Amino acid sequence: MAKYKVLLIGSIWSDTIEREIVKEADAELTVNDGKDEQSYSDLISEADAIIPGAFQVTDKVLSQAKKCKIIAKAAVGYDNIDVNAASKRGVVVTNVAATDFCIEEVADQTLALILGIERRVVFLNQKVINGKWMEGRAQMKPMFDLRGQTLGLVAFGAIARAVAERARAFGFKIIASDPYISAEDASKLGVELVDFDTLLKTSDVISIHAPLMKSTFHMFDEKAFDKMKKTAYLINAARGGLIDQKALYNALKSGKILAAGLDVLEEEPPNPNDPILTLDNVIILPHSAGYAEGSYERARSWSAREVVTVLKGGQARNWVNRKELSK
Amino acid sequence: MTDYKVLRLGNITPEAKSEREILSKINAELIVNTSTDENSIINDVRDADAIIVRGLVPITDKILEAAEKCKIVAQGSVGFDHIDIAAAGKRGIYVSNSPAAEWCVDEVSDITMMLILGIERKAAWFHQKVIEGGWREKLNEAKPLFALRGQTLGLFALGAIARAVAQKAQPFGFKIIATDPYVSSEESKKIGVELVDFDTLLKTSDVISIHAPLMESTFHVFNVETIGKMKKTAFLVNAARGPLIDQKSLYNALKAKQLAGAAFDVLEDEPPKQGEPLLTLDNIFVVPHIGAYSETSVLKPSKICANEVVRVLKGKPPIAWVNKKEMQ
Repeated sequence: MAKYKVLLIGSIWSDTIEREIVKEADAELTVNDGKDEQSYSDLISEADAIIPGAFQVTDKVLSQAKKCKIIAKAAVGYDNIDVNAASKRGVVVTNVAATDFCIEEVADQTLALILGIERRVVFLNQKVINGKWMEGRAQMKPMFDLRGQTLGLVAFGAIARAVAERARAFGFKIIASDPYISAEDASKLGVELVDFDTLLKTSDVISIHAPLMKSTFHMFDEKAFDKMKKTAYLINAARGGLIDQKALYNALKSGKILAAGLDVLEEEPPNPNDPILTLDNVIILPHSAGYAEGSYERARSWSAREVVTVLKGGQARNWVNRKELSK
Repeated sequence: MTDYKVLRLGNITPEAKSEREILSKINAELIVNTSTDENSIINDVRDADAIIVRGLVPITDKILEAAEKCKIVAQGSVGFDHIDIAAAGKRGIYVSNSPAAEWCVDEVSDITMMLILGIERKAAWFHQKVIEGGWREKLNEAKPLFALRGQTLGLFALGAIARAVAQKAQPFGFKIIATDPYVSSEESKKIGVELVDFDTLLKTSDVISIHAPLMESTFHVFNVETIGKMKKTAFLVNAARGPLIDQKSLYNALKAKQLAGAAFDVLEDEPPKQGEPLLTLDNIFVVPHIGAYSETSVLKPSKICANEVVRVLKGKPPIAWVNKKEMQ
């Protein structure tokens, strides 16, 4: 009998990596798809550690997880975890820093979305496949030269910096808005720091790289879209909840902005009747930005090692509620 | 009475604003004919002192034979494979093109990068799956999806567009190699590109992007034999000219998974024939020859061509003279 039980819940991956690593702490891995409460409620109450994929770790779940010492998320974003509730119960929450697994992948995907939406390639690809080469060519306008366009980065963390580095080679002028960065730091990287309002009004492309928090929820709402240029594009490879998707749909439908490239949505997977899926001025990718061969393995190994560390009595490395738990 | 007549062919920006403005300075009259029909062109070409082509209108020996007064064919695109430059040379007619560096080097290098990123990240494929109700579980079907950093990008020809591609690809972490008989390895080294022979390019590249002109010597340069040397995990990208690739051989290679995927801005037939088998594959990504287009770039070749016409009608050779050899 293993000393500890680790629950991997709501993950789309097979479990080989986690299973091997947690053995180091004499722990056994249990896997559940997280879809049926009856099937997982016992597993939660027995778990010494939980690795949640897209599974919602609510206050209720945490109240059942009486033995749980750590919730280890194998990704950058951990908005599916009620961190306050975890802190209240003394449960450690960890994530994986983008620098440790997917900066380049997300930056690459962001550029694919920027170029893809500017040059309308997904729309045009579909036209060609459907035998409508000439129709595609007739409907491709407007299509602007990238050089000289202003790219506005919302938040200027590790991924946004990697985006800036790539985008510069295409001739974008790059501005950013981020309350945690000084203008000096930004200007060292060739990026001009501006306030959010200026970013909205002057960007030709806006790419979102902020975490999802109470203060950033729906930061792109109807008011924000009203301030954007009519010819602007919006890119989101961060979190769906940063955009009020209904307002975005209306903005795209009514021509308030030109088009959007999304790797994330408010609801994932989207409701099949979600009207955003019917627009031809969007590119939607299935939250695949962080993925490349090796990248998720790095994140999954990292989160499993956090579990091992904490079960062995050590201190987690990417401990997101450290401050709260030290109080 | 005007001093000259200039015939303008092709259907790109047929209002010909720049041409009229520039040509009015030498008192030349502009006649616009957007037809691609040889007979219609022959009718108009007889008294033309110069021809401007905006679009890929075939300029055949027959047309040139009728163009008795013509001194120059000024082409508004980079490629001039649709113009019989030897026949023009024989008849003492200059042919000029619109070099990429003058108008579309950014546009074409941007679309090339888009094709590379798009096929590597399977953007169009994923989008379609999402529209059909799929989501992240599709990652399992999409594998492998390789990280870009550390991949080798092989450029087939290292002209102005390829150099811009190299510059844009470097921040993504690509190692860049190229093959080009007209470039020295010192020159390519200066821009961070390693010059290799074609065989090495085929065998070691993770992505090959084609930037050569279409000539007799480059026709079907990507064929069953050369494609067969590529890595199984490699991608082939073409934003140059369709016939550089033997499309049937490529189809077979893609179908048999001898190659990971291919992305195109150009095809052997444009528009492609109905039922073109290549378009039924799910490891391709194709856009309808839009590489050079942007709202600003599309206007520039009109000026380039009109200026070349003015030079030649004033007795000077064109700046971008592409049939110099054939005329001498």
